[in-house]
Amino acid sequence: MSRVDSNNERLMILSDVTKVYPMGDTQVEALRGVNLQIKSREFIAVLGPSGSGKSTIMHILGCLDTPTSGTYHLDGAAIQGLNPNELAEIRNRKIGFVFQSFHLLPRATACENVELPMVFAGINATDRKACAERVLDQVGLKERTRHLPNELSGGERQRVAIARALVNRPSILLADEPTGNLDSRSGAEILALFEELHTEGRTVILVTHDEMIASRAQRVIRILDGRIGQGSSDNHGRKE
Amino acid sequence: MSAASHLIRQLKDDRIRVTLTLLGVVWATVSITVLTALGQSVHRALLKGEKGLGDGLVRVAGGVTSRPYGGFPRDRWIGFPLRDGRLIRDGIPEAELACAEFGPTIREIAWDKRTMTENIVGVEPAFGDLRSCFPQDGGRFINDLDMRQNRRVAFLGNAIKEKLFGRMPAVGQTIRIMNTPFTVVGVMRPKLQLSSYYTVDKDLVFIPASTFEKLFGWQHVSGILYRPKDPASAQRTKATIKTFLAAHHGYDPNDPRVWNIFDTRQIAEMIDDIGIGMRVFMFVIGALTLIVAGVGVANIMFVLVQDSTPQIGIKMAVGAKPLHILRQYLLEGLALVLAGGALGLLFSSFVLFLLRQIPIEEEGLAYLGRPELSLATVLIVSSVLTLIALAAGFFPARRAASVDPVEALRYE
Repeated sequence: MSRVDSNNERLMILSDVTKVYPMGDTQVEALRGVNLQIKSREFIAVLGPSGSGKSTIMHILGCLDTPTSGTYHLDGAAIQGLNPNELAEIRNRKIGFVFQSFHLLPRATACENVELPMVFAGINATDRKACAERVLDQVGLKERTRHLPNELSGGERQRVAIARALVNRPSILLADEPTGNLDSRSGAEILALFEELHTEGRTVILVTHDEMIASRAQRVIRILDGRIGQGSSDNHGRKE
Repeated sequence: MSAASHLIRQLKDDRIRVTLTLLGVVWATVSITVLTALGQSVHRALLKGEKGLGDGLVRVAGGVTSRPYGGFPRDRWIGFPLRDGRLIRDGIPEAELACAEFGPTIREIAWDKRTMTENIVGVEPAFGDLRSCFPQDGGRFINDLDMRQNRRVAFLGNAIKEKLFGRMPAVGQTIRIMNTPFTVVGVMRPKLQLSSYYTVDKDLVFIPASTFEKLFGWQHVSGILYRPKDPASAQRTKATIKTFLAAHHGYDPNDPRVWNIFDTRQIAEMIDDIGIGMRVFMFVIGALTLIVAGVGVANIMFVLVQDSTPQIGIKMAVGAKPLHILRQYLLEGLALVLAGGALGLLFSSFVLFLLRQIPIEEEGLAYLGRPELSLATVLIVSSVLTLIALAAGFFPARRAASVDPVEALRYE
């Protein structure tokens, strides 16, 4: 189905991407030639066991890391070869990250954490605060804006992280095991929130090792040993 | 989150380490500030002490000729008689307060049952103003009438008066110099004098030059003193006097051995050089202390960067550029150093206040002067602090900015 799409609908294109990490004296091949195309407004699950390279794919898609070889195009622009400042700018404007262990600043309040991406976008303090409070309200944390992360439950922390990912209105949401540290009820709520954000028109990419979670996505990409494996499926029919 | 508020939160987490670093900066600031202020005040005290000898004073003394002149052979003794003082006073108006001086000669002086051996000098009235030998209340210096009438009057240096009379009033009393009675007409007001060409004025007994000449039978004065009216043309005045005296006494005006000159202005210039050298020296010591403190700051900044690597990763993930991170840690280093510097300046002004409470009547302490925290010192110290802060913060900040976000996010 993706092969017949016009180019401008292909938001992210990975071609023959490899990633090699030095680890002590040896080299670890995290990705061994990945080809992947993701269209705008897709809801994708990247599924694989730990060590399969799924986090590396997410880092490359999210411009936190660059491929060792191969090319990556985001919104039609080549990402490989960009300098750290240009990558930071893309992360700031186009991508929102959600991590398994939340990755909130421990000494900053929920509101300050959500403001952070706007600080680097150069937005003034008053606008930042108003905007952060609005987004926290959207994720159901209106009453918790002044709390520090350690005063919030796991589910609440992940909502803060999602609010932070949303606050600069990026078109892409990248989530790495977002329910991994949550109890099943909070996990279900967070997944529902992602589905809602997808319905609102965002591209959502969810990295997970859990088949159940992956089955909620429109398309599942299976990663094994740094390659896209057999059985990558398309759940479009079922979802819509 | 601003650098200051981040630093304050860090301070709470890491109280001991940050406090010790801060103390290092405070201590270094106090040393550089107090040393610089002391350098300044010692310099000032030296100059003031030099003025105690006489502001811009020049003293000319005779000597032995080193070359034949006008038919005379070399090795002739040239001395100036007492009248030369008046000749210069009347003939060379650009030499202010010109006067001749006899002595010192060490003689026995006595009052009541007390006997001492002291330096006696014979001076003309202008000497008082020239050398800032001012009388205490109720007394006077040697005057013209004393000179004309060869009066047996004496003006005492304040230290001599203390030794001879203790707390008793001296003016009006009769002392004996070589068993000749002299009436004390005045006692010198204490003054700061840190240099002299034989002994400081407070240890002298002054009598009229005319009386000195008669009493001791000296034919030549020890020196002729004056002050150039216009400091800018001091060299020309010196040359005029040189020519005048040479013509008058028949020797080669360019004979270096006759012309013995003592010029406080040259000494003042030398003192200036010494003072500047000393201030540079003290500043360097202070700056070195500050550099050591800077190393401490760099050290804690490295620890801070290390500890907050995950947070750096988070910031980078949400779009912080390396420059944002660099700036944050530079500002934190600056905030740390400037906070320590501000405390240090505050404490320095207290230390200097205490130093100013030390009584400096004592000879040795007089060199200390009155150290003050001048605006110049504050500005110099602040700029050095800022430089050190930027240098100390730069390397940790650069390390923070070069953190790999993927690595940093994994770091837990």
